[in-house]
Amino acid sequence: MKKLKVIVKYFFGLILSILMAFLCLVLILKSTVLNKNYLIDTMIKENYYSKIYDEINVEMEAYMMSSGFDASILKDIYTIEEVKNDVNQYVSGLFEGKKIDIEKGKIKDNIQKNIDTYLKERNVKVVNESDVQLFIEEISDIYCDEVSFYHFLDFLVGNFEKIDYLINVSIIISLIVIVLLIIMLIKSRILFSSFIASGLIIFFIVFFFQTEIMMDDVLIISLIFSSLVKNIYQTIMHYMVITSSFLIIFGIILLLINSMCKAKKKR
Amino acid sequence: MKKKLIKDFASYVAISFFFASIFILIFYFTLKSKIDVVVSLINTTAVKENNEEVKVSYNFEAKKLLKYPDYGQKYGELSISSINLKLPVYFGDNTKILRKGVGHYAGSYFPGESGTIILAAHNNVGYFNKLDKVSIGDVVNIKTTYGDFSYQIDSFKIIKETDLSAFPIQHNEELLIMYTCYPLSQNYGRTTKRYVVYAKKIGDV
Repeated sequence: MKKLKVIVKYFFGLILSILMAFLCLVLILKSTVLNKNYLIDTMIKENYYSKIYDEINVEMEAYMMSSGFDASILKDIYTIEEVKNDVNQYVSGLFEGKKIDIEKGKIKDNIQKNIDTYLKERNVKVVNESDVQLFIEEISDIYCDEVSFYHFLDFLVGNFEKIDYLINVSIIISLIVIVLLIIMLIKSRILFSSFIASGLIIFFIVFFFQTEIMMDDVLIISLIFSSLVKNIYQTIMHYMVITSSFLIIFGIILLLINSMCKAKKKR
Repeated sequence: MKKKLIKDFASYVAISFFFASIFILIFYFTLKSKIDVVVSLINTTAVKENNEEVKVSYNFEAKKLLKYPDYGQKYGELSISSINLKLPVYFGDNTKILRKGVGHYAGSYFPGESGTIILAAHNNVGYFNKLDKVSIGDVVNIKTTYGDFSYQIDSFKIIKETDLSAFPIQHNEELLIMYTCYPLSQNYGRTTKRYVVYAKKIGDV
């Protein structure tokens, strides 16, 4: 019976350490990649909007190469404020479960105006107006694609709320079970070992991802988007290291204090 | 007392390592294969941007490249003396590559592999703007880091951009297909036609 009690205590200790590690990871994700304000703050810190503004221009110039026009048709067709608003609107839409269609009417009108000026200055008549309209349509699509991450994250629309709900439910259940296990193990030093173990588990996960994933060279959609992803990834790894260090040190301190108190009592 | 304290402390730290080890074992036996798939998917997107010309090694007997260039890397030079054309050739054909020179469609074979090679460039001055001035019998040279290859032009046609049958991917004979937007002369807007030139291999140097 005594042996069974010990085995049960060790089992609860193991479950507690895994659950604490899981709870910490979920809370880190909820405060970073699943947090709209964090994502927007990261984009501001990374100068994401101005990089995208420049990238759109580079892409449009590259696309424009065989159109017969020059870079003057791209002058003042969009502003950095418009890029910022559209990107933020799209990100907000992801979190709110709404698919945002980026408005491109203004850009199309501006390009059309510039093309009309270009052709008037050169006294040129276009042979096929439909070619020009198709060109305007496709070049303005470049703007829409860039501000909406090339629709790479569209799968989150409608699914984000489910993910958020699942995460909230798992946080609540984990917290309840953790509290119950702590109460059951309160008189045992296995509780402190669980703290240290959960720190070691998180440290192992960090070690695994840092060694297995070649994050420095990852290229998703574009260099700018990849840089944003890398920044978020490094922040998550950083928070995980801090959390694991805290849990390990906290567990060691509690264990030391408890061991010293028990040793004094026996004397 | 000190010894007992240290022993006590060490045993509970050992228990925490034991718990962590159990987790690692559970992780390896249950989730690792799934996580490996995710990790390898992420790692396939890990590319080092390299704009230098790459030295590519080639197996002449098997007619196969031993190491392929990375996407975006320059691996050769295309020249057509009859229209005074010389352009660098890059692996890949996105808009950024096409700004720099000739793009090689990533789904086609390389020179020397006895298959279809599909190369594209813009119809701007300095690119393929004179492609419609080539004649049947003109020679196209592709100089690569693993060998020089020559092709003789034997036909050309104008197609709709959606006509994929004009680009047969095959591995029976070495066929070079070069294309650009049509019309090549001043045209405004988005072209929906392509000017395609076909050339067959005549020998390696």
